[in-house]
Amino acid sequence: MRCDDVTRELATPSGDLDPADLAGHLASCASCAGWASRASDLDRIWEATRPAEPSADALDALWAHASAALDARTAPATLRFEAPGRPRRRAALAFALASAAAVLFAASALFRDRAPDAPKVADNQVASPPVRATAPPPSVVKVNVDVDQIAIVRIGEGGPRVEILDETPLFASSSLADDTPHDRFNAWESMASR
Amino acid sequence: MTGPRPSTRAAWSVLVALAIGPVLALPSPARAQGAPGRQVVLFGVLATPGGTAMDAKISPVVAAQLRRTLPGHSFKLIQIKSDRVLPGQSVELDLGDGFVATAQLLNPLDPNGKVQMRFDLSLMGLPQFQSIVATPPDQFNFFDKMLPSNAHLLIGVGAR
Repeated sequence: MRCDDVTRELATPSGDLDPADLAGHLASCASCAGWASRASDLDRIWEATRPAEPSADALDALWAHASAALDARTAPATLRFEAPGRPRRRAALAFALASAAAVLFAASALFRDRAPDAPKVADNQVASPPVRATAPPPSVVKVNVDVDQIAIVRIGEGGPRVEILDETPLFASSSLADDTPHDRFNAWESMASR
Repeated sequence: MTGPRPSTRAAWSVLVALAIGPVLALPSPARAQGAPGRQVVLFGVLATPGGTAMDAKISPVVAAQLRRTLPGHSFKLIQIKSDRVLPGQSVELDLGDGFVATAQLLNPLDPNGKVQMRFDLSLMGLPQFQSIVATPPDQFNFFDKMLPSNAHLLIGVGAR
């Protein structure tokens, strides 16, 4: 089992690796064990900073409210409107208005703090696939890099994938070999001030 | 020669205090350097398959990193932002087309000597990707978001 496979599995668990093999590798590889320990630290940070999710009860109540409002909307269709009865017509109108208000209220409560309308994308822009309002929040990828490494997290359809590159060969054969990470950071930062 | 009367001295003191007070209250870069914060740099680059074009705004050092990250692509700088932030504060970057990237400083120096940041990418206000990064200072890490057009939205984040 390669260290890259182990760290990748720790960062974005796929379940492809046998847990026993994984544990065995961690027991015999100090580098990966350290990585796992640091990943565990990041887990704790995430748990401490993650946003609160609505409880199952709250969601159930919301759906019940919406269902009740939708059921109420069909009620006017069963009413009999009779021409001479002005008071009865007023009552029916009031009922219809109340039903519409209930539907609007339920819909606003349901979609508040959730998805906006379908994305409006101009012709010359890149459109992304629509995301359903009920889509689960994305998983969190933990990235832990050491000195002279670059992490590249590829975010694709199949889920995120973490690649760790050694930065040293990147500059070893170039005129930039003598640059320190500090110099390279300066290069980036100077672009921000242009 | 006699000095100013006590009442005149008091008046001058008040005037000087009024003049200097606001200046001292302003956040100066030198004072901010001492705060437990980090300079966080966040940038977005559009990488298009084919060609070797490199945006003139991208420095050679950075270009080498980008070519290593995504070989065989042309690169155009969308935006870059650099801000000094304290723990809990964020740098936010509007990348266009509804994409917004945010880097929040969690811990300026963890026990391993690394900077801990939280990275979020959202589209039209909906979270697309979240990551917690622990990285040595002065190093950039990249997030590569594949777009439907086969182009790549490459987002880099680093801190010092």
